[in-house]
Amino acid sequence: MSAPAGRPAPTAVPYAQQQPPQVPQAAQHGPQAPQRPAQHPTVPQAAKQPREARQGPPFRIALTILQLAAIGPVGSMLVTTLFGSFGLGIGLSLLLGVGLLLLVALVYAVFGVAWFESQRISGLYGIAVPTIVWQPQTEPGFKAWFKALCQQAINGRMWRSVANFVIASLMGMGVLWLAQGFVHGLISMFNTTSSVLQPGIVGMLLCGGAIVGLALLHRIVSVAILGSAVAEEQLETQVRVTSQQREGAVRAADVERTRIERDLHDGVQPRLVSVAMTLGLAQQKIETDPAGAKELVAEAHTSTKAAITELRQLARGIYASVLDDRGLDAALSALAARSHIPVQLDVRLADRYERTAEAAIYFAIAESLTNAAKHSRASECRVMVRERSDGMLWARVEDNGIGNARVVAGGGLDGIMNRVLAAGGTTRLDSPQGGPTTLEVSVPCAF
Amino acid sequence: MRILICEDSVLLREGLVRLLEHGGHEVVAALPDARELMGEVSTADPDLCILDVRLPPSYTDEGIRAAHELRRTRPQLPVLVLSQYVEERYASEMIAAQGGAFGYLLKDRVADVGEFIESVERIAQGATVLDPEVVAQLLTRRSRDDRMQQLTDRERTVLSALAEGRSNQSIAALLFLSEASVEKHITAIFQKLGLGADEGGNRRVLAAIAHLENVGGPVAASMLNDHNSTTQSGTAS
Repeated sequence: MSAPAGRPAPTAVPYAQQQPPQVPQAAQHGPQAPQRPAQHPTVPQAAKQPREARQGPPFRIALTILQLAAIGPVGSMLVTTLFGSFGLGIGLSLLLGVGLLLLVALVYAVFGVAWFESQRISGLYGIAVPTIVWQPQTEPGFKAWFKALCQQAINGRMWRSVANFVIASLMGMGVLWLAQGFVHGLISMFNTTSSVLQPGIVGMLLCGGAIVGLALLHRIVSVAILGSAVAEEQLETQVRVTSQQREGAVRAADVERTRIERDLHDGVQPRLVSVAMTLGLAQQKIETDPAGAKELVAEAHTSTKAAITELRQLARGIYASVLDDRGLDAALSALAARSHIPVQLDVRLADRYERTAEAAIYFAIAESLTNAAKHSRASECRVMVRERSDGMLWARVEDNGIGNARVVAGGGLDGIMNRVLAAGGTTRLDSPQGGPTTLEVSVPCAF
Repeated sequence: MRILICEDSVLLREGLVRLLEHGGHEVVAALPDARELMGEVSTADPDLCILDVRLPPSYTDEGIRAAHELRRTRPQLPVLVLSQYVEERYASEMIAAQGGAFGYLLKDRVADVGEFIESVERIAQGATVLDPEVVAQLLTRRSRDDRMQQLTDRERTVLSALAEGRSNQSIAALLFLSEASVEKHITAIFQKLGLGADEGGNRRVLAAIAHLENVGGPVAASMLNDHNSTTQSGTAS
């Protein structure tokens, strides 16, 4: 069953009937404002498998031979032109700016050749050669474009692909030359009628064999040059995801530290200062005005208790030791009970999960409730926590407030997202203007 | 009376000793951790034990474990558990262990000296005293129970006070009601929740708590331990 869209009625829908979506999706939120998903990649995506050439090896060899024959002359001309332009560009750049333009165009041309080659090889041999993409610009503007261009110019994968193209061109020329020999053999076979073992047939067989050999060699060389990119691509993705997680962890810690410092600075510290001041006043008054001093002491007493409560709640939001010895379900009781907005808890979990996952979900719920209390003007919150069948710990926090929640750098949602990202999970925020706000987090919890 | 304290923070330990002696009680032992506890209890034979939850060496739930150990060996010894944070799960476990009187309070409550001393004395006399925070947690966890839905807001407030271990008189004072109307509310609550409405002070608290507690985490409302609550409340007839 999907999540109820719109405002929950005062009489709550019995949650027991609600099942968490298998994969929480935007589509399950009914007619609402456009999504602003904040998705983070979690699993390294393998390069897309191209359509495997369904035909057998003979066909593929024939196709290779045809391609080589075509690439031979075209590629040779193209490669010659490219290198010629390179020389010309270098030469002219010393004299005029035209040379520079030529060099820029050259990078684009080389990129085009590399792209064509990678597409050709993945189509021909059905190996998942990652598509060569233009270096992304880090920011708009000419400088960033030029930087990306320079980075592209020295991109190893592009040049490897080009090298393969050059080799294919040379092989193509070889194929054409051998084909000539083949045709010669054929003609001489028809011209002479004497012996069985004519040089024509031998030539034909030799040339044909060599052509097939070249085709096979082309495959070996191409797979060696471009195929290695597949593993490399996966490693790159993994590295990217890992570094994203690390950044998330570092950022989450930063955001949290800032928040703790601010909470202490804005809340507990001034309160304690005022307590000390009140007691100081009482000390001075105690001789002259005992009744007034008594009042001041009572005031200081009340303030102290308030500071203690504030400290307790602050510490509890950061971490709960009950999380360690009794698990997530037990830890959520106090969170729900101390929330300023009434909370409906709906938790169905097995006993224990991985500590990182439990802590990330706990933190996300704690922060969401704090956020809701600060900004949402909601009259009710619902917290659902489930273990999904795909090995994820999944939580949803909904409120019936005014919506329009945004991720602000250093804010509560930013902290949640970074923390969840660091735990290898995903976050999805849905908060249209006018509400309701829904935050869903999933964290892998293999135990 | 004779009290044994087990608390790792020196400041708090000394503070507690001062407080209790100020209240006219004798502190027979003040321990920094639970290692010597069982031995001390058998030699000093106190009337009441005050335990902190987080104690060395691991600072997790040593105090709770020590309390359970005391429940097993000396079920009638009143125990007061003090903690920086209160957790309904610990309270539920203690109630499920079914021993004598016990209290579970936030350490912050020590600041209200008079009330704290009073709580200590009531526990020693056999009452069960729970921190309002724990009761709020229990209520939150049970709020989806059908029978809880039937309660009015006023009845819910009375139930909270009841579960904290307050007497009718104290509930009346707290909510500015007459004792007669508090009794009426309590009768209505017990009827709605299907509990035996007896007058034994501590039993009715246990009955209310047994209804509120949620041992073993997510239990469907229908699976609630009815048997437990009725046996605990008993029949006064």
